[in-house]
Amino acid sequence: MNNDGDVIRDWRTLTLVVLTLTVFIFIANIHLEVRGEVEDVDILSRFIHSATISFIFVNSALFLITLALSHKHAKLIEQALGTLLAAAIGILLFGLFVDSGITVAGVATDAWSQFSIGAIRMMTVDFAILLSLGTSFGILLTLVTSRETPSDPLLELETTSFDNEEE
Amino acid sequence: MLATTLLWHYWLPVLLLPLGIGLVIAKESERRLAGKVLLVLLVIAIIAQPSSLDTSVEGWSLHLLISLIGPIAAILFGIWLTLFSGPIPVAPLPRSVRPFGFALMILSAAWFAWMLFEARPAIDGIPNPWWQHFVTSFLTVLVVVAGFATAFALIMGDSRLKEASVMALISITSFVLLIYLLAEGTNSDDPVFWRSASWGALGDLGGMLFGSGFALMIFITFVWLGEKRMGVPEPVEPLSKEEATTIRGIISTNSEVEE
Repeated sequence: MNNDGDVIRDWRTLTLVVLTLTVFIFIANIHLEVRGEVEDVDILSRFIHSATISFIFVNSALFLITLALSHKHAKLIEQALGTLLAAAIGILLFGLFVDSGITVAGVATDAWSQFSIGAIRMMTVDFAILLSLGTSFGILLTLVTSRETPSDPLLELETTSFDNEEE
Repeated sequence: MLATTLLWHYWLPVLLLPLGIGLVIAKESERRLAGKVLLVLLVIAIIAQPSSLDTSVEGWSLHLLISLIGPIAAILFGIWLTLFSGPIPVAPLPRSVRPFGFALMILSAAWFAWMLFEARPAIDGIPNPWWQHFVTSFLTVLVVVAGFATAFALIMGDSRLKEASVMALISITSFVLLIYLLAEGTNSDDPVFWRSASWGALGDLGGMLFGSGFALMIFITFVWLGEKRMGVPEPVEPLSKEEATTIRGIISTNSEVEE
């Protein structure tokens, strides 16, 4: 068990593990792409489209959840209007990207086709993320809780008298 | 162009889903009820698609979800049975159920592997176009998440070597499986398509992390601005004689002390 003072070091180590694994996956992809044929994916366009669509999704979802949970003390002007405006800006940006020719290959170049395919791709990725998180942490929880531990010895003590027996 | 049926039976339910979830988790019972009704209506709207699933990309995404119901149900029930038949004090199930839970988890993994190598989801011989995107995204995220769980169990846990080993095995197996798909492919798909899907998934995952993170940061800024704009609360006026008498009466009643 670690001390409280080691918390920052522990989280730094965990971040390093995640970054190392991500780099490994990139290296594996690059290595195999070099070795063999690959279709033109245009990863930069995919990145820009995914970032913009995710931005629109998260802001729209936060806007609707803010409306659903609104109460008299809620900061509706800042939260609801802010998220709605941010989503609108995201939509305008997406249209601008498509008009500028930043489009994903293999899809019709009109804005709606690009958006709908991108949105379904995002939902598929979200679904995959949810599934992997649920699987990993579900199995970890199952393993962690399966350890038999002896009961606390303090629970077996009986308090029959408050007098000190040695006196 | 967007077909009207897809608007009503796919995009509108997707758009309104956060509203339904937000209403369901609200405190007021009326809102919770409205949220439940809305969610049921959204599910009905999606199920009542008049067109066949293989006629649109939206339909194919629903087909992917339906195809994975079996393995997902197996892993969820497996985790639930194993977890609650273990030595936990909360709602324990009989210990005899535990092996069945593990068997369901193994069944789920085997089912997924069978779909991956032998039976790619398809309708009338036409393969699902989202399958490779889903598989590469799932395996990529699983490598990272299971690797994180391994390090988490080792660093934060107390003598959790066994648990860390199992999570490391899941992470390494996912990584090897991903590499195998990129190098060798499957019976139905050439490795070229898997490599392309994997590259695309990496771009999507990176973009999603960036876009979602940026949106959350903006939301936090909005909340912070709202809090900042809120003025300093006015000082509370002292109690009037009448209020003080009422409070004294309540305290003496509850503490049974006569003044």
